[in-house]
Amino acid sequence: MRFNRKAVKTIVLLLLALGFLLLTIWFENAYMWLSFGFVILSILLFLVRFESRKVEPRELVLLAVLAAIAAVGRIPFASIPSVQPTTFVIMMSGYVFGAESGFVIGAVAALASNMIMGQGPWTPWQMTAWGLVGLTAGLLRRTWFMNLKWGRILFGAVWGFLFGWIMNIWGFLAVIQSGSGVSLKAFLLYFAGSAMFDTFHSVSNVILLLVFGDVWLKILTRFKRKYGLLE
Amino acid sequence: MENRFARFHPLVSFLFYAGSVSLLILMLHPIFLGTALVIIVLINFFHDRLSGLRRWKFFLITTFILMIILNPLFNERGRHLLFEVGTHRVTLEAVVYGGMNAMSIIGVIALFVSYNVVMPPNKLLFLFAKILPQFAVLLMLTLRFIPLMRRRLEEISVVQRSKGISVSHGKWNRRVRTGMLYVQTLLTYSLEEAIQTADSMKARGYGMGTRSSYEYFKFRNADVLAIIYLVILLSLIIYCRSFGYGFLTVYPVMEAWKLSHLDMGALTCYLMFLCFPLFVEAGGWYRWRLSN
Repeated sequence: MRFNRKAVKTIVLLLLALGFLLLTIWFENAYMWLSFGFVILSILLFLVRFESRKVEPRELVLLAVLAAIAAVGRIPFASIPSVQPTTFVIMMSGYVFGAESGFVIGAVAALASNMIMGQGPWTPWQMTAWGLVGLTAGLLRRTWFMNLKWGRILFGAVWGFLFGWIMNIWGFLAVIQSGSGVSLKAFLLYFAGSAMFDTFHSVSNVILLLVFGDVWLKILTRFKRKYGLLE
Repeated sequence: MENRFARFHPLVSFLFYAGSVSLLILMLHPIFLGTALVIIVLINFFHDRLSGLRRWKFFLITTFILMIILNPLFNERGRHLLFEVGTHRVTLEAVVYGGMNAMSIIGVIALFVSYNVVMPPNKLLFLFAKILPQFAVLLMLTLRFIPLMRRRLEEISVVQRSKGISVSHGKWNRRVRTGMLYVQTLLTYSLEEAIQTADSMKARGYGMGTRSSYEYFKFRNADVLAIIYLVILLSLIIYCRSFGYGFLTVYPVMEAWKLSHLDMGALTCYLMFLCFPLFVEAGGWYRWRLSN
């Protein structure tokens, strides 16, 4: 029964995705709106997966604490521009607690902080971008590369830029939505505009990982082993 | 001021906003979009006297201007030449097409401004809880933790300041380090506390059976009527739209802006849909006047 419902939900969502793909044939100019549909659907697929597993209260509260810290972590840095530990916190959580938890923490942190600061068309993109930070950190945690300190630092540096680019996509799609099509020049121009902020983000990730990466890993891992959470 | 539209069941508000956003995206016609923008501004006026829109006005105006300028800049297609800058052709088609998309996007953003007034987080959570109960609990816990953690951060910083350590002055790298140490203290502190919260949840039987929830929002007759009204109008408009009415073809050849009979029909339904919050507001005002 439980399994069937999950299968049904997954099939419905995949069919919806297929429907969206078909829509792209009819409305070939509506890239922005259709990509919104895809982003929301992919988040929903994850949520259905999360819903189908029975999560222990301890795990649930742990996820909530990490998401809340990721969202609140911006406050002490309000006086220092472009430095915010949200990405760092999500990355560390994904690395220690696995891909699925990483995605959930990232998505919830984005959704919850926007519930306080105001929702907008950027919410689904932020949820995806931060969710993917946690997801990739969790997926790669067993590789030799991520077990090196420098590997993790490189990962953080790359995500500083990737995050900005994912957030750029919706703005860029909005611009070309009003234009004739995708031109490389417009694309480069648009992405160059955000390069400075992305670099700041990337550099702050590197600094945080360099100075605090090991301590945070130790704290989270100790906690995970002490209470046997999300093994 | 509480508005009457916000008193409807969250499902009604959600349907209205989801429907309006899709209409703004689907009905790309200057007349449709122009009237829609006026109505959305009016809705914002009735809900918060434009205070929300005023905060967004810089962003809205720059987005609008940027999008109108960018399209003729990158796009030279079209037959009606407006003027030439050097060898660059600026066509009427490019301006109209860019303008329509610009209106559609700022319309969506302005709708979100009114959404934030009418749908506070608890309504969205209420809708979430129906389909994704476990996720809703997680989101609720996170939302509850955010103010708690703010208070804890404040406590931590007061203690640290008494030791002469502060984020607000000193060298740049020192400040980052201190800020992060605050967050780290917050982490260990909150993780230990969290286990207590979790154990107390478990002790009270969380997850033992299906969870019941407190239903703050009741489904009344007015809500049923509103949903029927909105769904009928929405399906009529989409039916018209699927035959190409209420849509201005710009490329390859721009149509005349004139509306046919069926276009007018679609426009009427469109206006009736978007004006729904205004009707509700006007109805309430009228009844108030009558009763006095």
